[in-house]
Amino acid sequence: MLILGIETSCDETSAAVVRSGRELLSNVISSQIDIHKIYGGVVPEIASRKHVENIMLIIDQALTEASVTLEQLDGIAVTNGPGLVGALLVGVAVAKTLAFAADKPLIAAHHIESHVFANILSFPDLHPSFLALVVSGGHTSLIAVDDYNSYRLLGQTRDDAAGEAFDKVARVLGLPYPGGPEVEKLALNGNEHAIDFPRARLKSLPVTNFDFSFSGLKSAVINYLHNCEQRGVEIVIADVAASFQRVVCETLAINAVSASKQFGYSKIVLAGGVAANNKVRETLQIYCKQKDIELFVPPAVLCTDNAAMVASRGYYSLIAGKTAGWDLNAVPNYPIGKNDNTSE
Amino acid sequence: MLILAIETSTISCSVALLKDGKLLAEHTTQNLRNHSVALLPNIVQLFVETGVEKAAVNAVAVGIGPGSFTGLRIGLATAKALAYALKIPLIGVPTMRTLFLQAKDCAEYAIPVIDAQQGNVYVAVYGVDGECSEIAVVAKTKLPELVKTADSYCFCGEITAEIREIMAGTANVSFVAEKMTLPRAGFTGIAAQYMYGRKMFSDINTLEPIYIRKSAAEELFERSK
Ligand SMILES: [Zn+2]
Repeated sequence: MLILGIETSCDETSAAVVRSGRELLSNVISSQIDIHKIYGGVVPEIASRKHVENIMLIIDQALTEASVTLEQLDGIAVTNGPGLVGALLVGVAVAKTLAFAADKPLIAAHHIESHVFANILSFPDLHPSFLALVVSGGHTSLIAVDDYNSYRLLGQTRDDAAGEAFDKVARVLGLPYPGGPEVEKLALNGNEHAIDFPRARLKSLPVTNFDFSFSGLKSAVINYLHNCEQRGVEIVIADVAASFQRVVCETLAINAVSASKQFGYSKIVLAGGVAANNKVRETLQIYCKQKDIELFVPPAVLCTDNAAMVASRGYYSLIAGKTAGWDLNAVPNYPIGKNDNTSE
Repeated sequence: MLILAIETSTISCSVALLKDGKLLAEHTTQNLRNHSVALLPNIVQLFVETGVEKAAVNAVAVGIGPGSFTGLRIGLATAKALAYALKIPLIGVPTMRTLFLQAKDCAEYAIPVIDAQQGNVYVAVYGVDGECSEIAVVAKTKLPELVKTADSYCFCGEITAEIREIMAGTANVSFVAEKMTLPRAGFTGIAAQYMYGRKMFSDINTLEPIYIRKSAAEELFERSK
């Protein structure tokens, strides 16, 4: 079964062809990062304009690279949320229309659920159930995956996403956008125990809730920098970066591992753009090893936004008989576990 | 010779099917459901109603604005995907031209206006022969300056009560009929029929809406330089 995936939820225009959910035939990604850089973040209107300009070229390239024609496809899957609404709309309109014109089933895919499928694409023997930790610039979600089509949100960020915290801290340290890779690079030369930033403990939580919080940590970094400036103390920004990064990594690892233990999962899969960070990978690995949990980490190219993960997610909806109608819409706030595929 | 036409640059979501330049069916709603939800089901309905096979369509026409950025992108993305999948030419029709055709023969000059927000409108001036000025963004209060000494001018497009008031008392000015104020895909199709004959096709990969205005972030950035 051949599925074309389409992804335009943020600043990447991507199209991919995946066979039977696991075999990647093509995965074309056009990043707009250089365009948004000068604004210090993704500008939604510009992202939408670029998507409508690029999308057909990217789709054509994905089909060509896979040596697959539109007629040979078995379905077309598209991210319809969450994300930037104007950006999502472009992918949704194109996917719907291609599906109608070529008489193919249309499949709606949840963006965060799709991130999990970077692991399905990377590890042939991996099957649910497992716990998924999806960490990106927009999301920090801990999800119980009991089946290819069953998602239960166990915890999410209450304020900033982990990737957002990286970007904000990078900005106060005077590093360029996107901040994540810059903080990671800088942290390599720093002492991660130099500064004791606090790890957020969400006291009011019931034991079954594994929410995250990163805005307190971000404020602690800003306060530290102000204090040093006021007292005339020299700031070693590499130490700040390393110490901040350590706390983020520990927070992610501790939450994920405790949730696994609590709910009895023996596997954790990592996904999302922040999963490309080596320190995040290493920290998770250390914590998982201690508790005898198997950790899965996909290659970096599948961690950031891409359409292959969407095609893979779509395949498992399709074989479960779940498809979407021609009135499919973009849903900027799309809760995990809700499904816009209407027919079963 | 069949043309499928799409026009989504304003609150009107309009689709039409034309055979040899004559309307077979048109479906126009005024912001009943958002364009993203309504557009494709409305296109599907055209094929059902007319019994035309989608594979028989010879070209896709789409209104390229100016107008609502989001509406335009939904229309363009849909039109591009149709042209790609059906392997037929794509024809971008300025929405100003569609509005001009809807008001044609009303006066010596037609002046289509489209809302540009914050008290502004997109506007152009068309002579009866179809010759037109460049599209400009002007404050609604400046519209009277476009009216010169010719015998008659017809304002068409998104004519609000405010615009009627601003233009009131100008002897050589009239307004298009109420039912013709929203752009209709049937007229987009008529414009496209003409363009098809002259092979005025658009490239699927490079066709963009007529935005005229940059994004707010770009404008801010340029001012800060
Ligand atoms: Zn993402």
